Amino acid sequence: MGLKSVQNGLVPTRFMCMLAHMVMLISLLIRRNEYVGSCDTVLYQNVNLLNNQFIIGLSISIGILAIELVTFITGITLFNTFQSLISTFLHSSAAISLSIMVFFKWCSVDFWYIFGFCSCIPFIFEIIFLIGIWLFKRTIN
Amino acid sequence: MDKNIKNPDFQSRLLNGLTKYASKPLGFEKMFREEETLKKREVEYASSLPLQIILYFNAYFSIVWAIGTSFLWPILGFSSTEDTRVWIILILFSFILLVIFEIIRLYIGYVGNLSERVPELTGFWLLTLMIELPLSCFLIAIVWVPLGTGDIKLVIAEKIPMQFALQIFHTFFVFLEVIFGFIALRVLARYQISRFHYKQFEKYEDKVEKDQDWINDLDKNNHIKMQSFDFEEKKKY
Repeated sequence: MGLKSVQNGLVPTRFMCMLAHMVMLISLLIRRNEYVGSCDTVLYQNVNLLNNQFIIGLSISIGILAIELVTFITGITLFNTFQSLISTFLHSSAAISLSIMVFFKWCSVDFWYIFGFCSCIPFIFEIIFLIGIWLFKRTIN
Repeated sequence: MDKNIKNPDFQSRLLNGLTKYASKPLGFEKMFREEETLKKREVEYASSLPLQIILYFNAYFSIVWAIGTSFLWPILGFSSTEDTRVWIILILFSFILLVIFEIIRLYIGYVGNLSERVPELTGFWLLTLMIELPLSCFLIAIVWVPLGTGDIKLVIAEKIPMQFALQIFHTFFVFLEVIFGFIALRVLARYQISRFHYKQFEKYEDKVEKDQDWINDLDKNNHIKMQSFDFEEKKKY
């Protein structure tokens, strides 16, 4: 089953989507001011708080994505088709929506939706598979 | 060359000494346990898996990196001050060299690791260590100090943050390839040395018997009677 998922191209697409997400996150972390400054000043009055929240959210998602990359490359979930599909779909949608955030100068509060859907869900499934492989020795290939 | 095990000649002594020297452990193989896995496998192969994984993903990533960053360099050109204009020529040349050497390096490393060839692996390792590592580190770590202030800033992280993010991964891949390429090269070279060393002692003992067996087996298998043939027979004309 490993060769088949390489034949279909699941493994490299998953890797490229994860990398794209990571690249967008890092580039957003470097230039934050435009997105924190484009928020509604009536609703969000404390700009420093928004800035700190944005930094925290970005760095948490970078950490989660780094853990996912490590489990991917060391081979634990490399040929797992279910996790591959979830990862490709969600991380690619995250990369696209983050680039839309750059183009249309969204508010930084809208990043939390991307964080919830596109960073947390693959991480939860990955932990489920990790526990399943480590403790119960069940694999899906 | 006569075969003397008790009184070995210079050539066999030299080879013995060379294999002993080449098989001294440095410690990397013990850390990653490459030799134990070599002995435990049912099929013996000496190509390293981690290096192959890294090269595979690096090949896919470098396409995106090359195309993406080549679209981003004009931003640096348009938004440059007098301070940063110094670096643009160096960046341009280093990028062109990186792209050229990347294609050669990845192909050589991939093929050399799969087909267990030592010269190609050494070429790959030397290219990464001597050319790619300094250039890709340079593209991350360009530093400028703006006039009037004491701040130290990274040029590329400030002007083109996306290129900085891509370059981080490129440098990370190159760094990993230097480490894992060294280990793969040592394991492969030592494996081939030991195989060559043991092979040449089997040569002269088995050769004569094997030829005779081949000729004798022809009679049994093919029901052909072979007459003994003297090649040095004088012609009777």
